[in-house]
Amino acid sequence: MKSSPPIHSWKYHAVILMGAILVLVAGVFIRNSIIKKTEYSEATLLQALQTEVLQLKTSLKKNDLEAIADIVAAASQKAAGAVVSVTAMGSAAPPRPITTFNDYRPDKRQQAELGNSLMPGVSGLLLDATGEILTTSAIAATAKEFQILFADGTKRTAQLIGVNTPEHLALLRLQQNENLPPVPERSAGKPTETGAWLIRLGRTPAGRQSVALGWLEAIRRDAVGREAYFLDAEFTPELDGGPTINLDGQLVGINVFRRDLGKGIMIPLEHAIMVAQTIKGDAQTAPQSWIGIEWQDLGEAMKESLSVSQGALITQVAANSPAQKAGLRAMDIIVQAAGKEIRTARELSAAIQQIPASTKLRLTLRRAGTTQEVEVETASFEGASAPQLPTVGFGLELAQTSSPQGVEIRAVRPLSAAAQLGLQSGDFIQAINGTALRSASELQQQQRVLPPQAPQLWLIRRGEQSFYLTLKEGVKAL
Amino acid sequence: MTNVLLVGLILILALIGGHLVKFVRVPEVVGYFFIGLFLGPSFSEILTHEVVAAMEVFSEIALGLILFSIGAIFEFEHLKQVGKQTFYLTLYVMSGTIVTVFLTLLLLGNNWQVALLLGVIATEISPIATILVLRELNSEGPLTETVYNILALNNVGCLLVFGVATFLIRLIGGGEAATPLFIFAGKEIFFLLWGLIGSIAFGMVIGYVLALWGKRIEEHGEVLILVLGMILVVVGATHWLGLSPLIATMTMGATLINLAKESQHLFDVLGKTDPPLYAIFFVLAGAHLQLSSLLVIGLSGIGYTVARVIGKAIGAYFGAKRLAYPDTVRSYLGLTLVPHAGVAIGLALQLRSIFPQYAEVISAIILGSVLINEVVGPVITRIAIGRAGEMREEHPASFEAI
Repeated sequence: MKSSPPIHSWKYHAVILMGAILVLVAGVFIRNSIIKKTEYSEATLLQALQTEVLQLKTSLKKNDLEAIADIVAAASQKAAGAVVSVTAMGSAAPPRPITTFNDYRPDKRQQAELGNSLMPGVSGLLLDATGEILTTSAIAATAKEFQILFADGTKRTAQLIGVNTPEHLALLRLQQNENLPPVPERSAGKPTETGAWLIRLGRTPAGRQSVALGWLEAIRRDAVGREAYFLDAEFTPELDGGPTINLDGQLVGINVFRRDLGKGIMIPLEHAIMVAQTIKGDAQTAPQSWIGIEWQDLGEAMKESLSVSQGALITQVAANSPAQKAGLRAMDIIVQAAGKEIRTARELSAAIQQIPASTKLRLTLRRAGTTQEVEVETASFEGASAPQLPTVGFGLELAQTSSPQGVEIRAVRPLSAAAQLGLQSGDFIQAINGTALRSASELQQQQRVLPPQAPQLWLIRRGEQSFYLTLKEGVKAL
Repeated sequence: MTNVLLVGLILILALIGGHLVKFVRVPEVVGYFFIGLFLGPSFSEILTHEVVAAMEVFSEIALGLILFSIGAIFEFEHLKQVGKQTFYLTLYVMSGTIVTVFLTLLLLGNNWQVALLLGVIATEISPIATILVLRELNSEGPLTETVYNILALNNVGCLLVFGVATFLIRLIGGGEAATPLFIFAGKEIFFLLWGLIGSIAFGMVIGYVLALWGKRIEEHGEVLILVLGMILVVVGATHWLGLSPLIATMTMGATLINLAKESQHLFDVLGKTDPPLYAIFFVLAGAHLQLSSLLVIGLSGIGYTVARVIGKAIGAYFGAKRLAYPDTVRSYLGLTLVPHAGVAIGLALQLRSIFPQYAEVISAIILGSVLINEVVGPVITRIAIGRAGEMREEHPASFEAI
């Protein structure tokens, strides 16, 4: 293209061009200001879309979770009525805090809970319309009478029928069994397989339902063939004794906490009910007589080392009891009673308790490799009472090792005086009445010296904190 | 099938289609269009909606090129001679169309809003179809010249009346009650003015750049690159700025022709280079449409199609008579302006966001009518030009010329 003479002067063109540019710039500016208010830009639209997609995705996932929650809620609702809270009657005062101050580590003002290490409320399962409640054996050691709290908030009292400690189960019976909630149906179909989703139910002492969802991880058998079901589900204290249900709300088993395993397991319902039947059966055949011993089954290793094939091992002999008078001792193995072979511990209990009082009972026992025969005169069961067994004490189990920190508390028996005082396992008793202590024997010696009726001041160390506790009177026995 | 292969296929099939329809004295563009229909969703489904959308860029380039060349009509000296006359004639044709279509559709039982919107959309004349027929026929004469002149003005006028009509309907016919009237009116007027004045300003600015830059380039190839590049920039930028690509490219052509007289040859060069693009344009236009849209066109659609032709003929007749145009113009101008296409569909689509309540019925009518017009329009134009005696039988460019 060759240049041609313009029709007008360059000024004319400049003005037109500038005018056009001005119109454009102004127009773009106005348009943008309008559009910003009225429309989305592409970027914000995209962002809004992405947000929406994300919301949609999350809402889908949320729906899935909510669906699970609904299933769990529906299943637990079916069984909820029969899940009760079990607390021992005669509980102690609620936990109280104790704060200690210091002037060298102000950031470390400390607060300890002086709770009574009372057995927290556990749960139970209403078994039938007669008012029988299956629960964990852990609670049974603490009382004979229990308060039962139902889902609807009603409270009833139940008595202990019996305990089966090896099975970790106890059976209670309600005093009144009118207007009981319906008992959930039992899972009747095929046995529960590993991988199945199960729900643990429990009720807190406040009456709230506890729910834990998980799948059945493993089924293990112990030496005697008992099955323990391991669940991948939370095990809070109040779940102990409660039922395990499947997703249809049917009963599958009972939750129990196994201290030996440090784990909560599930006992299959059929087995638990069988155990309940034996507890009931044992209870119905009321004992007539006693001789004052405690005994146990012989383990395989024990049989081998003691070179016996069967029998019941005496673990304790009550003071002033017929057994003591007859010369029975701990470590004796009873192999025959009244000419009948004793194969298990259970058989011995029938042999002693189900014969009339004042009967001469002939026992064959193995003691230190020799076989001996002993005659014991059975006493009436009415005369027997627990205080004769040396079990009552302060409730402390102390470490036998000496330590510069003091005497370590290994365990505190639930509901005991020590527990009421607020002592916990792991605490150290540093000093009593200003005298430093290093071992359990020092403590026992000191207790014999101190006046029994006078109050005592115990210095306790818990973690990094030290505080004093006051005892109203001395400790007669640990 | 790759898109490149598809483009090749489109071109070759378009060539064959264009040749085939010539045997029955039908313009090439109709042949291209038939090929598009055949390749599109109605029949073979080779050109799916996705492919058509991907190739849309060709259509935009083609439209930009044709409007750019139409812009050459706005040469000042040419305008001085025919400007006033053309302006009034366009006014006649447009009002004839609007009134006829409006009344026809009212009579067919449509509400006034639909009738009015269809009336203003009916003013649209497909510049590309019309011009390609004129080019193919190598026509020359007062009718041909008048058609070129009117097409240029009609484009601006069509967008203007469309804007005014939508504005009116919103104002009277109860648009969004939520928006206060003055805000709404201000916004509407701004967009209307922006679409016209902004497009003109933008086309002018780019036209100036093109003219100043073009003077420094001597080589033919480079000039072509520059012009094509600028056209694409304008077409693309108008989308971004919310302007009319048609008016902007037209203004660019108008600015260039007035600033650099010799650029006329540039327009000629472009006219010889762009046929493949137009072939693709019409094939895609065919692929856009579905035969099934004819089934739902209804009585209103047929009425619209017929009334539009009659309206243009009446407007052209009285306008030409009043403005003392030659007899051939008076008799045949209306028929020459029948082609109706893409921009009409664009306007109908635009209605979806403005008046969703009318958009469906209008879309159905327009889509069906455009389908008819793409086939019938060029044929009518060809007949009209032939009757007016402006057809020159020899081909515009032979192989020897290339």
